[in-house]
Amino acid sequence: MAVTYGVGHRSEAPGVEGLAHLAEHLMFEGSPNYCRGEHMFQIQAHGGVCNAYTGRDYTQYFEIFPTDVIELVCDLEADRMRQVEVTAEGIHRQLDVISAEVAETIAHRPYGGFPDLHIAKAIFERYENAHSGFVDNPALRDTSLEAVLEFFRKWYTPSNAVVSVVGAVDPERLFAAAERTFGVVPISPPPLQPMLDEPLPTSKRSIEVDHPFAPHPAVSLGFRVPDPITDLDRYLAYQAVASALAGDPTLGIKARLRHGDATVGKVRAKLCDVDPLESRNPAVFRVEIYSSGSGYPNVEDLVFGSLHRLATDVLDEDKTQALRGRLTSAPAEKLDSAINRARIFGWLGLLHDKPNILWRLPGRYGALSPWLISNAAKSLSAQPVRSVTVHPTGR
Amino acid sequence: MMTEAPHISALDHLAQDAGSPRLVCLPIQRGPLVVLKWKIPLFRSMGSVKQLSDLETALGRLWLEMSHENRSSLLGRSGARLSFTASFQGMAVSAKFLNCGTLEVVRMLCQVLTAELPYVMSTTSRTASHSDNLIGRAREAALTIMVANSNFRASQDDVTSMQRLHDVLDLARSSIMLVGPVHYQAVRTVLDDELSISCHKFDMPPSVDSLRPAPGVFEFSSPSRGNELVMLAAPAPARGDPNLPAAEVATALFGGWHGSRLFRHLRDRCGLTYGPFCRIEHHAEGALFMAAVPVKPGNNTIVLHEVCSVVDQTINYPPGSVEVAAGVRFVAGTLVISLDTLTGLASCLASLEPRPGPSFVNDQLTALYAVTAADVARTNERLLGAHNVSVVLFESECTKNRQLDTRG
Repeated sequence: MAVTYGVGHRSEAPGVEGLAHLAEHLMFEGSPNYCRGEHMFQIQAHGGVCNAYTGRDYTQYFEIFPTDVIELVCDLEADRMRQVEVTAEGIHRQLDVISAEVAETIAHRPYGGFPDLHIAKAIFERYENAHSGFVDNPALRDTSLEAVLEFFRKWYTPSNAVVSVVGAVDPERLFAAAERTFGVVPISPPPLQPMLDEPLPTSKRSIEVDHPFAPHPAVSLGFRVPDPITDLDRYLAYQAVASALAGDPTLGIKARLRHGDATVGKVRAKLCDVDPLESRNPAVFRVEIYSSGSGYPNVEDLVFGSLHRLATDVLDEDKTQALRGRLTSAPAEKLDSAINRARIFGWLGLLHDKPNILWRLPGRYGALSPWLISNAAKSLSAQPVRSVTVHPTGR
Repeated sequence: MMTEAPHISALDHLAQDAGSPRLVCLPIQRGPLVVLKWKIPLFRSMGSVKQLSDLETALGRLWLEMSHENRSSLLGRSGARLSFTASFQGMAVSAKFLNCGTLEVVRMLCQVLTAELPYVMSTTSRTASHSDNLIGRAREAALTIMVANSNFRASQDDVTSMQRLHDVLDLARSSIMLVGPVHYQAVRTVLDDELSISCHKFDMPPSVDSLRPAPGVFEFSSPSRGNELVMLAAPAPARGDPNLPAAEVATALFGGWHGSRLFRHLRDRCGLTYGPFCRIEHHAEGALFMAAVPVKPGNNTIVLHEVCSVVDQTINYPPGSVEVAAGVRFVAGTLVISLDTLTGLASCLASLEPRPGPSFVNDQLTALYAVTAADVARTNERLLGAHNVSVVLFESECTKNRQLDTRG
């Protein structure tokens, strides 16, 4: 089961960066019928696992459990959807945990936070799009209990949530359980989502970051892409470009490396943070290049040179088939996991309002034409350079 | 009781042999995805993590180059994605692809694993984005501390001297697991064709000493990292040991899940850490109990104090029957959930030696459900007692600078 709420980092107001992530943690502090920590305890004590994630446009709670406790899990999720037991002490306790989380996963790790913390700042102008919410924000310690409760009242309402369930569950039993539990949660009108639209960048921008735990330099370039919801086919062509850039030694950056740039180590290119389908518009296309030594690779030349080649040399049938194969096999692996299916249905239900497009994805990938892919590369190569460069300072 | 995962019944159709290499196929018709795991012992011990990393890099590059130079349309359409992971236990190849290219992927992989190494490894060849893994370093430190004669890691042979992968990879004693829509006999034929000459035994791998208790506190500096780490490590019952199910439940109740004593105390009560974890790992030298707590700089001392208080409490006030029942359900559930995916099934099959029978999951579940509170209390005393536990500390400042072989 995944319960997906339409609230994320892009829902935060200036000054309270990290509030959506804090809310995610507070959802485990207890609810009217379950004490603090009991949610996880109940799921795991029945042989299940659960976790949560805060993205730019959503916050998702997900669990995998034996089907004979479906009623219990519906009750656990509905109970905290109705009301979270938030106290000032609980807020401070969870801020301590978040501080440890940020330290462990970002602040004190090699390349920690690269490029996630900065790439949006390089590409976007609007506060909602540009700021990062995965931060240890001391200002949140001064946030009042009432302000936190108001955040829950506004965003954590059934009209702003999707419950997705996959697995060998009897639908009649599931809907009966959902009716008894989620069905009695009071509904308020759906919250107004923030305005996110902004024009395409017209000038260069480069952000320099000193990193004490990065062993070598690294550079990321960020680009804008078509609307993932209203223009999905064109958007998926950008995923093909990402796959070609990072994964194909005859087409992308690695093909250019054959001619000798010993400073380049790992190369990555992708859409969004976790999955291409998890974002509202505007979404991000990013390329990351890690240096293999102390030198700085000529990233602009490598990336724009590869994009230019993809834009001008229309792909032959074999290369297009290989790209389609890679694009199809990655989702096949994701969809093999029940928890991933529940999560993806959650995004698609909340953001696209069309969960069934999941089953049509292989067909859409199969229909990507060389012309569409080359046009995507052309559009990327026409954008100004927006980059984040990491300078190692620690060793 | 847990609801049975649908894939468990598929184990009835397990096809396997004792050939060279050994092939295990689990045919599951759920979609086009195939998962391959290939476990390959190493002939020559690698002297350092860097040498292992070089080997990974070399194989990754070979795959990229050779699979594209000899690309058939089937190989391309399969969308194959591979990873090579070298450890002191051996090389693990992991691949995911669409079933239209199964035989092409296996054939190309055989050619890669028997090729000559075209690259001269250099000090800069290691992928620089490789994230330094503090828990991995602590694990290696614990294993080294607990192995009496550490010849397993003593070799200083450099990977640059390798000319052929034959000298390193013991393909004859390797095992391949394939899960998904696959045909056993067709894969066997490809393996026999491609590897008939290569599967000679050049020599035997070095003997491996077993883990033994090394009680004490072992401090290491981690100058390139900001985080610190507190880890308890101890020898644990190995696979096949009748005490293993109780040890798995005891480990879960101590720190292996969100309802565990370590997690509730350190994270929920004290807010001192985000992700403590605890588990038993199975290595060539034996089973290793690990309880690891990553902490922010400067907090090692207080966290160690709190961890010790949870150890005392766990030994002096062992879990009652209700807590043990919850722990049993958690461990059993984790096993069943791990079999939900093709990747999980392949990993599970790869972890079982030498020949997993179709009933191995139910056998494990039966053994787990027989664990009692008295079993867990006895296990806690053995596992967490001061005579058995090594404390491994990684500190962010270069204050102690002790060597790996320094005994506390």
